Amino acid sequence: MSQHDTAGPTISPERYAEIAAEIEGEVGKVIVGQDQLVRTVVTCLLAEGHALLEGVPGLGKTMLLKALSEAVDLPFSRVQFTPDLMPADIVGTQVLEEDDRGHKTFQFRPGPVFASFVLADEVNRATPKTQSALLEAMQERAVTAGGATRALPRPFLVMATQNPLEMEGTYPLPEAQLDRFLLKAHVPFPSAEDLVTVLERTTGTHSVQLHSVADAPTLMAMIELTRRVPIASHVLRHAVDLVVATHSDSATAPELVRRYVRFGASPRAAQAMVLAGKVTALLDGRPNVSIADIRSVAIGALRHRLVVGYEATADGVDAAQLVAALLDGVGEPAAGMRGAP
Amino acid sequence: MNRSLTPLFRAVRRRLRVAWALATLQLLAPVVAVAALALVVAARYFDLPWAEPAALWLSAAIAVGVVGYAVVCKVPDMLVARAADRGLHTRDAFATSLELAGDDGDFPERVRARADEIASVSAPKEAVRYRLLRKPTGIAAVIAPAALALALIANPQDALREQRADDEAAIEATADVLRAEAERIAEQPGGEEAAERLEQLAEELEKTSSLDEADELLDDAAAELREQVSPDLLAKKAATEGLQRSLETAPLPGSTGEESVQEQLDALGEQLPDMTDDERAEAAERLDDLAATQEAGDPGTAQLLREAAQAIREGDVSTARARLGEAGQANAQSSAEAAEQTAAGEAAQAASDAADRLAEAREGDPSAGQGQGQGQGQGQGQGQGQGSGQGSGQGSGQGSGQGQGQGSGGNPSGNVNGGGGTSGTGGQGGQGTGTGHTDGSGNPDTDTIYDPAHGTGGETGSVGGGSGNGQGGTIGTTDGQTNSGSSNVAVSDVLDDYAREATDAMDNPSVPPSVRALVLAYFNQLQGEN
Repeated sequence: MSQHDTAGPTISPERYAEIAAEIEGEVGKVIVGQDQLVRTVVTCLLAEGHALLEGVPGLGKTMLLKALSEAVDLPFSRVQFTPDLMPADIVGTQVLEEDDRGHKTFQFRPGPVFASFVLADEVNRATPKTQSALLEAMQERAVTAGGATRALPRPFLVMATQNPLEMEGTYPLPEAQLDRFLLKAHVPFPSAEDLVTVLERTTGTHSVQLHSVADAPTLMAMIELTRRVPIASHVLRHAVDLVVATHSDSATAPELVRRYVRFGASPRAAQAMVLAGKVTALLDGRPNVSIADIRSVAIGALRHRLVVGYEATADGVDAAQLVAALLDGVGEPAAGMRGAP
Repeated sequence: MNRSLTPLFRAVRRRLRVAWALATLQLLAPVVAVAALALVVAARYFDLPWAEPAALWLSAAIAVGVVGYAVVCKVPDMLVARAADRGLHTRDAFATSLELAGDDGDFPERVRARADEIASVSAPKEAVRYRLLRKPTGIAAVIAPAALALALIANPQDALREQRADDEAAIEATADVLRAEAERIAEQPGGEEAAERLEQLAEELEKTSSLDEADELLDDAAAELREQVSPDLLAKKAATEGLQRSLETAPLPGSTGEESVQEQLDALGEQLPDMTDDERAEAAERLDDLAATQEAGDPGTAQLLREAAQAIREGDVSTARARLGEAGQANAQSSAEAAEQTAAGEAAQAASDAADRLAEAREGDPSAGQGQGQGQGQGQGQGQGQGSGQGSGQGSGQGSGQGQGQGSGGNPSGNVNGGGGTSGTGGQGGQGTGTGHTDGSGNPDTDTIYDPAHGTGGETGSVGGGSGNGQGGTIGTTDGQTNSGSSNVAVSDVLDDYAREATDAMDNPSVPPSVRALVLAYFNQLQGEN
């Protein structure tokens, strides 16, 4: 086993699932028809990762994170990335301040990244320099400014969005920085029925009141519990097999991967699948991670980590299709006697 | 592992074995069926006697192998757990529980509790289901009966195989006969080497695969053994045995008839110093007589005996003793050589007989389409003739004829042509040999071989004062003993002539006295019986 219990949980798995369900329920009050998206974001939160969302504007991404912050009673900030956005605009800056006695000193004024939930809207519109400032904070969970390193609050969730339609004047995130995101979710256009509900809720006088169902310590206990979920060795091995098979030079790589993928996923992808799988297991009320859990999060964990060639773009093959092919090609581990069909 | 999981795991393990065996057999079935069909088809077009059994054995061996492997193969608990997880859709509850078996803590306890709960409500048959693989099973279901049908219907190669089996049986029987001969020859003096060669020949024979090969082997062996037989074997054998018998009936001075030639000659040499001149002269004369009997068959011994006799006459006792000793040794050597050559000759004859036996087996084969046999026939002819001469007269006569009968094509009858006899001359029963047809098993038929249509005109005979043309016929029956061939002439008819010739032969000085007595006693006994 890769995980061993070292201390008793401060929150039970049952309570974990209940709180998560309550959070999803609260968010669901304002986000209609995006259950999978909500589940992805909550998964990133409980796995202490970050989410990358891709979808056209107006689908409720900002509302989603705002609702989430209200549901867990944690601060939320939103940064609209633009080409002229500077790193200091994100992490904060030193400002000269004069105290009551007239002494002038540099004081650090935290940027929007010093919030538990940060929405980096249209992150691909900022320059790489600014993107790096955010992504470094995401990875290190700390900010270094004015010669001092300042820890970011925990839990800390960055939800970045990308607009897939407008490519003019954008700076696509480099692969190494995409790797920082635990999961990537596609924000689908809601169905007609869901859209009707959205209109009913947002065009009237009725306003939805969200309730706080958790706080930071509770979330940290849940995050801690997530990491203690046991996972069998063959399940771990399956996560590794999936990652290995994303490399086109691997013997287990499916034909579609061999043809279109230039660079496969990094080990972070396996970590992402395992952590997300643990959250999935707990949310499902199970005390262990299954192969199905790993496979259920594989698309979200792998789709942004595959570097596809121009042939894929030319043939209209996207990363999600490649991951789907990967899941088809790398089946579940055999569970019969050798050679059994 | 939780004890509560044990019954489920045991049942799942058992079902895993069965499921694996069933699936593997279904997957292999079309391959095996195609292979079996190929073997059976090949066996119909080629002489492959092993092909059909091989098809059966291949199928059986694969089935046994698969089932055997399924029974003895180790199925680890983890494999069972994963199979149960997959079949029961437990989300890896059993496998994780198994891995956490030794761990303490909240999560391991929860995992084990969940596994127990699932196990308590799960059925093993749902964990591992037996599957029918329609495509491979369907293919096998079509091909296997075809192969079986082809294997059961008559095979064009069957006759050839039966022939081969017959050949092998004949070769085996011949080898047994050779071994029996080898045992018999081995008991004869000097027969060890020839017996060993026959044993070796029998072993080589059993390794042959065809009658031709066996026949060639036997012929070669027979020729090789015959080469060991000296042309003057009979003379040498007669000489050595004659000397032995002569000394048995009339021992040399100082010996008894029970002693060997060499012992008697040595004893004579020992007696010489004590013998009188008359006794020495008599001994020398006896040695000369003995030398004379050895002249033709064993000249070396004869020479030494003469030299011994000469030395005795000259009073040279030491030389005489030396020559007598050498003569004894020479005789012993000649006897041994004769025995060895006799055994070799008998072994050669055995090999030759075996070759003949194989030849008969081959010719008796119905598939060969030919049969040959030998028959014996006796014929008597009667002839009547009328003739004209000076004067007139009628005469009748009886005659006997000799005829030969030949038959072919399965008709055991033969034509016996007999010449008409002249009147008053007693005919002599004819001896006929007939070539009859055997039925392949070597059993001859017996039938009348008289065929009036083939009677020839009787010889012109003088009857009374005239001559006439007689017409004669022969009536006879075949005695179709295939292996016979000896004369059927009555012994009484020829005994006198043989006895007379034998008596004349006794005058030849080279005939040992003991042989003379033996021959005379033989003919006396025969004449007494007749």
